[in-house]
Amino acid sequence: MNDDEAAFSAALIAASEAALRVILSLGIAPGEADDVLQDASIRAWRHREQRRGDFRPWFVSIAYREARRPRRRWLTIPTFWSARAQATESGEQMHEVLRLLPSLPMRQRLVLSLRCDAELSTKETADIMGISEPAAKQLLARARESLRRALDRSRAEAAS
Amino acid sequence: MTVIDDADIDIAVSDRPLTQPELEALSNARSFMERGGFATERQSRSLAIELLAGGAVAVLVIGLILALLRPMPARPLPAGSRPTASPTATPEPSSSPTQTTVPLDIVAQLNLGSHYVNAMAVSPDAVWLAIQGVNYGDAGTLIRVNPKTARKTASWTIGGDPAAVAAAGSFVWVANGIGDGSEVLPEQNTVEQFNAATGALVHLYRVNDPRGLVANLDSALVVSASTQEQTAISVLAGGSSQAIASLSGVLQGTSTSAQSGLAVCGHQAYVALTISLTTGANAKIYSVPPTGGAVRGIATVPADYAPAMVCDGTSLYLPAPFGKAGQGSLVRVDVPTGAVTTLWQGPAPQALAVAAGRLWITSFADIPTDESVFLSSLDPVTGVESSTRRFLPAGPNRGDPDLLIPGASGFWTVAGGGNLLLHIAVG
Repeated sequence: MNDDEAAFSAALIAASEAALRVILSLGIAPGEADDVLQDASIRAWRHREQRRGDFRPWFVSIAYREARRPRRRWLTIPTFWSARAQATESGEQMHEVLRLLPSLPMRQRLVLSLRCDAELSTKETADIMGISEPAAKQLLARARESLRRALDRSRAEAAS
Repeated sequence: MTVIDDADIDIAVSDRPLTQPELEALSNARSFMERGGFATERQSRSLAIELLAGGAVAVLVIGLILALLRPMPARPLPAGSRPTASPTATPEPSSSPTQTTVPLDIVAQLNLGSHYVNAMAVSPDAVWLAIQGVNYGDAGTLIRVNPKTARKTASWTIGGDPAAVAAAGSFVWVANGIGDGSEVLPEQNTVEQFNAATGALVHLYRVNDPRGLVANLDSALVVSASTQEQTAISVLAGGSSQAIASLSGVLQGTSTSAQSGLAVCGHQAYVALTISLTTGANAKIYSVPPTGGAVRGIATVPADYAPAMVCDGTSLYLPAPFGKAGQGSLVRVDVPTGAVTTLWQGPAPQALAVAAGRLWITSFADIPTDESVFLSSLDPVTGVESSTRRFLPAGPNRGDPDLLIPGASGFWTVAGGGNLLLHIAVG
């Protein structure tokens, strides 16, 4: 591996977890998410000259597109959210939040993942999703609101 | 209202630990990155495709030899002649016999290299493949294939995200989707009507996010997303569009005209629309005449059932690829009554087709380490699976052989990770 490739490899590895979490939020199974991440890294290397700005949001946007490529099908409600709900021990409320995440519409899950997992700015999130900044803010607020409502319903059901 | 602030929600999302399979995926990808696979993978994948193609040829040769040696299979029921079970008499899923693998009879094939098929349609004199651009943002290509030889006979430029293709009479229609919305794609949000013989563009229709097409002799029914939660059904003809209905839910799916939530049988088109709710999702199925007319609700199925629907004279069939314990299933919807019954349970079903009185299905092999895909058939009344299966050549990217369309003899399918067109005879 030459110096360019080594530097690129290090940047990819640093951004890989954020990209993986975004891919998983789209409902792609871990076995395929691995392929998507590898394909995204190939695509990123081929188009490295076109990068403008920070590496991570650029790579996350490539991974997102790769995951949404039409040849990848059967995007379903992610199972990883619920699996994770069982894995966490960070309090009952957090546990409940994670349990209810799969019930959100895909775009609401995605905006949460881009903002919280990939730690992207509102502008970067909006750019990746192809929406305006105000729309991204509104979507994020709606996602949080949906979670609160789902929590209310869940607790009401548990109490009755 | 629950008292949980924004920061707590964000922390819950960002701090969640990865599961073991997710950690393994991350580890695999990082190993790939660490060894510089991103810079060398193109060559190794080309080699893999060549090996796969070589393997497919070997399978073809072996298959031909064994086909000559084996006894003739029992004659299948002719299409449309199967007995119709009343909904109350529909049996529970039956256990299938022990299966043996028989060779895949590949009549002809076309390797598309680095191009991936998004949608396919089969007409009496051509197979039509709609292919996305190699790079996101590039224009796509419509390829006409000779069904006898599987050789390409013509190709034309189409939109960058071909979502569906349909052909009938003198025209072929292509629905150009919007992709992931991150950048403007060539001809996005349009339906193109081409002269099937010359490739001349006859009309270009503006349609927001078109997702499914049904071609008639001189018109097409298009199913499109008018908003994120609403679907429009329109008839396109002579350069203009006539709205038929606006319905709640979206046509999701597999982006293929044959394998999306859109099926045509007799004089009805059936549309399965997924209704997303914060509490889950259902798919509601409607019927509409392909040339336009009254829309009628048929049934509602749980969201577990992927909107990849096929039909015969009286029933609709939908697969649920991911069920409990890795098992998938199929449901049958009785069109006259709307009754929904589970017909079959087994390895993750991908593509469905109805032909020769049987329900054909491609599934992922139920061996965890084996990513190959096999083709088998079911009795559409009892759900009993045939005792034989045929393995399809799978490619480096699993999940693509979900294009399965009956042709004049056998099936057309896309395997090899989405770039290998196969014409398969099933005897």
